[in-house]
Amino acid sequence: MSAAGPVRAAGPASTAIGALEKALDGVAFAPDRLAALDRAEAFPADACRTLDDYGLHRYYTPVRHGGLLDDFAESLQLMRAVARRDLTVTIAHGKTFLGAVSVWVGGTDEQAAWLAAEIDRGAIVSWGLTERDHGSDLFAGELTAVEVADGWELNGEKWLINNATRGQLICVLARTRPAGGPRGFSMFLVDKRQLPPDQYRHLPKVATHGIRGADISGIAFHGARVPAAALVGAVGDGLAITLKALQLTRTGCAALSLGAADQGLATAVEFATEQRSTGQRHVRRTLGDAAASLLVAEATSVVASRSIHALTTEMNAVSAITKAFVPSLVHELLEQVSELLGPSATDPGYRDGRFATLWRDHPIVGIFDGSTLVNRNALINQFPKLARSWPDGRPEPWDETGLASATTLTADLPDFDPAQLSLMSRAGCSLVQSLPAAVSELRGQVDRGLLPTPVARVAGELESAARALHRELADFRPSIRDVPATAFALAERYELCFAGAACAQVWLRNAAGPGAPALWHDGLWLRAGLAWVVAKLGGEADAEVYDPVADLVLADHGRGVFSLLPGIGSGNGQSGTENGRFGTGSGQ
Amino acid sequence: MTPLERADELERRFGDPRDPDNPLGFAAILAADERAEPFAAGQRVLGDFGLEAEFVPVEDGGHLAGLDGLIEIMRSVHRRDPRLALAATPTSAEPVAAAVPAMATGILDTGLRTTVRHVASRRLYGRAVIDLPYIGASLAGAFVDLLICDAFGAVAARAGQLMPASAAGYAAAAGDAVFRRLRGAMHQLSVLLGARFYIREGDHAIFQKLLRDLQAVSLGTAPPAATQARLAAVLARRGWLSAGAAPRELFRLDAGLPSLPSGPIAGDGPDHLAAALRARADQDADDPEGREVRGLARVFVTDLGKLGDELATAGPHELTRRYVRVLEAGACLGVWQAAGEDPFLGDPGWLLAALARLSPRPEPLPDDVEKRLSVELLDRHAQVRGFGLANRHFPG
Repeated sequence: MSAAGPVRAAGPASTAIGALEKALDGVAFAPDRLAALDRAEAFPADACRTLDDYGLHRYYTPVRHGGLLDDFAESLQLMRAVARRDLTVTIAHGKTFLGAVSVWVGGTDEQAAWLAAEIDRGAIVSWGLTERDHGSDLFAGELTAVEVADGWELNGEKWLINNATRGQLICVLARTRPAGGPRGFSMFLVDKRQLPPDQYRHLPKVATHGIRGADISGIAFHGARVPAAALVGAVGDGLAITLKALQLTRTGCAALSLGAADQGLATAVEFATEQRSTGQRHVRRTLGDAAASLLVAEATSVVASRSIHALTTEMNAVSAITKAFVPSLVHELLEQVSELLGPSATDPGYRDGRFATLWRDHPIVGIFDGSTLVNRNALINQFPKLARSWPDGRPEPWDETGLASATTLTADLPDFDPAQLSLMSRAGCSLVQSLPAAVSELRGQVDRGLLPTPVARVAGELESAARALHRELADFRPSIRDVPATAFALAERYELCFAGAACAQVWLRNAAGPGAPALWHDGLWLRAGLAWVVAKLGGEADAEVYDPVADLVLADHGRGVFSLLPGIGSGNGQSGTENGRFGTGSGQ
Repeated sequence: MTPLERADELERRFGDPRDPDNPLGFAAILAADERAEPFAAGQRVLGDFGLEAEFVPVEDGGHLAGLDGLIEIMRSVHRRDPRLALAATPTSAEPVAAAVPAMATGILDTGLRTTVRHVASRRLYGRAVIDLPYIGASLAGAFVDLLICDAFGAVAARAGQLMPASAAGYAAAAGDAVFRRLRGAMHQLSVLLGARFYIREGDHAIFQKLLRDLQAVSLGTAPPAATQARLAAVLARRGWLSAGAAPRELFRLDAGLPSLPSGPIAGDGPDHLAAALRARADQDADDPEGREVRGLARVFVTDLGKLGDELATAGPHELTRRYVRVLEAGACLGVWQAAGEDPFLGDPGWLLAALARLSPRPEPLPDDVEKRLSVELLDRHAQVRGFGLANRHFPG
């Protein structure tokens, strides 16, 4: 076990986040200003410029192409810090990563170098996947690209596209084979500045329920001529590139939900403190339950982000799990907070309407980049291989090295290699396969007095739930056309097993000894996280554990972000959190 | 006119909300919403209709005799613009307040109708979206949620009128459970609508307004902290132990009601909903579905017993959600038993679905039950009938 406690608290990641937090305390992010922009449905240009000045866009380009992106878990925390202030700004700015990622995954070095230079100069890159009548069904896309002398001609429209109007560049998924099919689409990096005005037009900004200031619009191409060099990857690679790129972006979406959850929990604590209701047992249970769920979401998201580097071939499943699980969990967390707040939850006058706005905005995370249903469907399609990874109730060997690297938060991450991303990988899910071994390690710690006894029970329940689930997965007969409704319930259970396993491994690989922050004392967060997961799986609740968690949330009030990890953020100009500050642990 | 006839009259005056040329329809409601203005044309209709008199007891010269008519009238308002309803509740009389959750189910009616329209018209993976098994199951689930909310809301409102001295627990429970279930169902539907739910234009735009309004109505009129505190007090007094059979009129939705009590609803007297479950759990059943109903009733009775034990150690607040599920189940069972020969309400299909959904360990609906519900849902949609217990015809 690590001796230094989790996370490179004093390393480059926390330096970057500290500097970002300072930038976020600037005037462009003042809550009343963001609220006024939201009311006017106006693009938060000043806030985006502040992020440009800080250089956030440089984290959208991998280091090998000249940017600063070399750790997806660091990016997660950076975007989470912005999302804690405002989801519209985060989505508006972060879109450039989504627009560019197809090139990082499928483009040539020359294309990547060119795009990296453009992003460095401040170009906004958009991503044109969805169309008016097809939504998430990419196979039905009607926008066409036809090969012509010296290049391609594009016809058709993309709709509900973030930054379609403001962006200078857009990656467009186009049908290149009339019959379509898996090899029937190709990806093009289109430079709008090079197109004559009569070859494209922007579709009007769409009035949306939330993220009202964002540029959600569309673009229509009319005989738009793009050079041969605009093609990203080979002809016919478009869907494969898209699905691989989505493995990265879907994992990254967790940052938006974590930021929303941070703000939601902080609001709940502040409200309860104002109301002097923090002494009431049910208020504390609610706070503790919400905080425990946030820690589960955090452990899951961090491990998933690190898995991009360390368990790349497994990302097809990991990304679908993360994108379905984390936004759904945070939806519930925000519902809980809203019940605590009562009428203040929808009051635009309460704390500049910050909660009302974020509660309204957050559902977009469960919709874009593949909705919760699309992701559960993607996970269901992988049930046969996931079932094979647990034959006869016993898991197959897993990628021990990759798993250790993904879950040991102080370990250096291997460079991310996009070539390892796979749609057809036969790899299972190392995290879930390692669960029985992790549970026996936890039992060992209980026996040695390092963890309280209830951990053994909840961990055991989690293991039993995973075994039962895999038995059902083995009986599952896949059908692309007639996925039974019950399969979606299996997918939800799989997500919970994944989340529980993430908690177990993060504890086992990082637990620090004396001097560790209070959340880590006696495995408090682990016990709370496992209790939350097991209760969701229908097991027996261990609700008492939420009380000490609530104590810590309340003790931390005003001091920073409630987190497993030290130094990831300071809320709004507040100094770092006590419970997230590690001493010099001695290991166990 | 009877109250139900007046409700139909109000529907006629408002007309088909989906007709884009209707100055009282969704297009006009949304336009006012976009201007952040009250829906003035709608307010005028309610004024001309004489809505205020619906809240004034008959003995004082108004129309208010029983709450069921008022509920249907206010449902017609909620299914169009719940903000009109907020403006139109000038009374704070507790018996009427107890009926507010039942009125708000009109929101889910439109949410469900909007979603059915969407999935029926859209194709995904080469087929109609509505034919995807998960979509069908989710729609059936939302339909069941609406029936549960309607049954419990109606029973809670009737209890306030039939036994005002002992119905406060039901009123608090309905405020808590109905609104949470409505919010949950609207969320499930929003998942089915996907990106369309998030857009304030086009055929589905009413959905996002109703979602916002539901949040405001539910957290405003029944603040969860207050209702749960009241419920915890009820639970702590263990009224379900002392219950005898309920008066039949409690569950017979077409039965007349005594005149509206003028005072507050009080007490936490005997819990007749739990009693209905207990009676069913002990009753002989000779057909398979009757046995299934009995089996499910036993599940709730068992859970009630556990609740009693757990009250000794856990705080009542942690147990209120389970308790209200028992109450919801009791209300559904009572309504089904009293529905007699009604071809839909008297059929055990919807009840089995409701009890399965409410059970401490919810199971997916059996295929044949889901099928029956789906057929009913699509029939009602095609015939423009309400999705609630009353199965009313709507204009359109």
